[in-house]
Amino acid sequence: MVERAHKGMRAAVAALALGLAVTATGAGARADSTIVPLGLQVQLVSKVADYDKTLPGRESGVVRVLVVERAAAPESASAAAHALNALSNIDRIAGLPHEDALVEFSDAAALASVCRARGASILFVTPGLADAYESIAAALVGVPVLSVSATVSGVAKGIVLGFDLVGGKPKLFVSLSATRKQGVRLSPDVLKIATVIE
Amino acid sequence: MRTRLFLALGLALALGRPSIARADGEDLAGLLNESVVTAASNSAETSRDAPATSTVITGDALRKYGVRTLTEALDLLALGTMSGKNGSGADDIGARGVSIASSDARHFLVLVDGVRANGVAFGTMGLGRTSGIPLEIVDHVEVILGPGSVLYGSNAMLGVINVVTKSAKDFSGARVGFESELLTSVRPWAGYGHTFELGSTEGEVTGEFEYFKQWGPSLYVQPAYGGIDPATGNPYRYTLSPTGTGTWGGADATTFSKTEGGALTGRARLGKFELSYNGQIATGPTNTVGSDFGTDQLTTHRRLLLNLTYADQLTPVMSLRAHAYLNASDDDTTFYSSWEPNCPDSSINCRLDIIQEGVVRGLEVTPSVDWFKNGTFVTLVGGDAEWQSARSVFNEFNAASGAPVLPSYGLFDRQMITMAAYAQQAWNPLPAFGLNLGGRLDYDPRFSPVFSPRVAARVDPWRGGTLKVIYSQAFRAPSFYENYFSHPLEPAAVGLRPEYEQSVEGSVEQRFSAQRLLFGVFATHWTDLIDFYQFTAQEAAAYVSEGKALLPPAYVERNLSSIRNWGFDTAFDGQLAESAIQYGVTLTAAVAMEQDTGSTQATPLPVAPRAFGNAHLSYDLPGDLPTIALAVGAQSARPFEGAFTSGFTPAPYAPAQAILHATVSGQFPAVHGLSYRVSGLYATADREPYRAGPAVGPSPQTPSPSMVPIDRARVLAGLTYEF
Repeated sequence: MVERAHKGMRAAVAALALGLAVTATGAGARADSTIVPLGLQVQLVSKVADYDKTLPGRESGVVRVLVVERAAAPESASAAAHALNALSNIDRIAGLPHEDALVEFSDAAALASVCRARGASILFVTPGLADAYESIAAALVGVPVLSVSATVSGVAKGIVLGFDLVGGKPKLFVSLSATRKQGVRLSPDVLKIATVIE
Repeated sequence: MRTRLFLALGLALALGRPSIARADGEDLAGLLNESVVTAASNSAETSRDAPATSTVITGDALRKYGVRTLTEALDLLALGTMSGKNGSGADDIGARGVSIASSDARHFLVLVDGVRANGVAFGTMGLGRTSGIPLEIVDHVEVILGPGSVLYGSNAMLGVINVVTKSAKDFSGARVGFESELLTSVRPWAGYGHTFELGSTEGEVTGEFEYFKQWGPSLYVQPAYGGIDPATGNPYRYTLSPTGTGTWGGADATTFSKTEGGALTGRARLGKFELSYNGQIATGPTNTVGSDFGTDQLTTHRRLLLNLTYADQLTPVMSLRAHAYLNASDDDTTFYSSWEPNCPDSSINCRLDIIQEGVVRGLEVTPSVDWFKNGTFVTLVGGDAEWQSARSVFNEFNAASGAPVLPSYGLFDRQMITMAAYAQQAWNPLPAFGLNLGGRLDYDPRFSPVFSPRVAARVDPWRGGTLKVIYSQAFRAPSFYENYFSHPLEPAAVGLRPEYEQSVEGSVEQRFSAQRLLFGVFATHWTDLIDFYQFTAQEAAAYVSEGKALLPPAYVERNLSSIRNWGFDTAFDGQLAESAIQYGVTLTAAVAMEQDTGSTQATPLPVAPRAFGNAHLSYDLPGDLPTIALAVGAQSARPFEGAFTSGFTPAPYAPAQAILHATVSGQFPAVHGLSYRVSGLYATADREPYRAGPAVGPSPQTPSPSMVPIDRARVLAGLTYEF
């Protein structure tokens, strides 16, 4: 058995080395499906929006949701399509009708301009834009849009709201510094059930 | 046909309207209490969307309810599962009223981080003391009830148990711990997790090592009288002494509880590649029928699981998951016997040494196509190829001198290639309606190809409500041991076929914010169950006269029986006070009737309870105060392993049983990073419905059978320090 196991081990190690070599030149994406399903994320965002006291659109009576994608990143394009489909199944967000739009990411400053110009209420940043989290967060300073990342790593880099799967259940993560910088005021009720990152 | 399709679509659309209410009707607490499972359809989805009835047991629950093993987790926290400690020292895992005596967990498929953990030599995966999975690194356990062969092939008959370990973000830094069941065991452990970036690529490593040693308690075994050894005319000895009383049992030292081992589990990820690993070496009890009482009867089990996975979203439409895996294990069993059928020389004691090993190397590729890029119509196909091998040798020595008593026997050394192809079509035209159709074809050179289909439909007809109907089939291929093992009393099996199961189930689930109420009904039909057939004297004599054996054989593995099973299961669980209070109650009531091939009479399935369930309640006290938690698992009276075949009248039962865990856990406020848990464990009954020792029928000395004793009370205390 030991001899056979060693042969198998050698094959596995060789395959791993090959894999690592290939990965070194590839984009960083998760090897497993441990993110919260996007349909559930969208439902969660729609509920957190109830607790966003500064949500743009309350005055105009329409919540505008922008889903930002990087078309060249397949995981981003796929997530954007899933998110838009899930949004189409939700009647109202924060008690208001909502308009949803897809935005192609070019750079963070342009994205912030689009948010201002369209009066965006919620900005959903799809996976595949992990390398742009920090620049997006910096560009959104002073823009009271509820920025949302599909993963918790976005929250650590300045996105207001993100999700993680812990123990097989979804968890909310909120960046308190991002809420201050963007001027987003989330109700203490939601902060009590979220993991708050300073 | 087209008309039917339009009708189906119309129904879906008509039923779809409430789905909008589903999205709007949930509150935040309810959505955060949704469980996400991956094993039911090979993709992440909420448990109510999944084409199965499932339970998710969190790592946090394992800690705060004083859980020591995965078996206990299934008893205390899962819906529809229960266990029994069998006469081989292992845990039998049953579900929905079906528990097959001494089958260990071979009717469940166990996955560890997505890799199949059941060994091929015996088809089992231990979930008790020697599972080799340290619990601190477990993120959650998915328990998927019902046949899962549609995606996973053999063994997934009662369900699929998917153990998912923590990622580094939830297990970051170094940590050490020490836990002890006072006066009977110690378990030191250490773990580490770290995330990093290599260039622009994210990576992580995790791992936990544990050492476990148990040396007690001493348990009393009800004596069983075996009578006179026909070879000597004297009472059977059943001990290492030269004379015996014919009685097996009494005050045992530690035969049933002597365990020692180490295990290492974790994973390493870099970008799209992930390597998960699990290794263990463990020695535990193996109470072989016919072994001498009070002597060491131990099996040393070694296992190595390696799984290298590549997963990528290739295009917005297509994703790919491929993994290469190794599952190698061996068992070295040693026991002592003076019993004549085991030890042919009545003047000595024999030491028997059995070595059995199995190795699987596999490659599985699973592309998936999301045709409309939005999850409404997703096709998953897969191909799985395995090279399996197994070997066995059985040696017998004079216990005193070490000299061989017989030439080696029980020999086999087999290799084979198995292949499978499967496909699954998920169609979710609306959030309130989903269909999941699939089928898998398994090729095994030992028998005709097996097709395992599944049809599942889900409808959300009203706010918070979900209805499911599922039809599925599953199978279990004979293990190498069942197929090829032989010794003088047991000729090798001939023409063994896989076990089959058909299952139909329906459930209704209602959510009220963070509370869930579920009620389900099920019916299953099992055929071709593999068990030992006992030869009659004439059949045994014929075996010899036909030149098939030198000695009259006693038994052989055959496809012997079938089971009809039906019942219901129900669960109510949820949380209150912003998750500070968590609770759950489950109840399963089921009938399982077994019938031998050719017989017209069915009898209740031995060792299977007709009613069982569990309840748990925890309260996280505010601030630095601890969490207090209570968990209870209960089973109704269970028929003895040989209740309807061993001649005892009336048919003996093990009494109804409840196990109770009361646990306090929390952080030491004065020492940052130091936490504790203390748990009191109590069982109301003192025995399991399994035979202890040799197969002995009723006699004046033994009017009732000797059953496997269990530890009834224990205190568990542990400390953890996170750096």
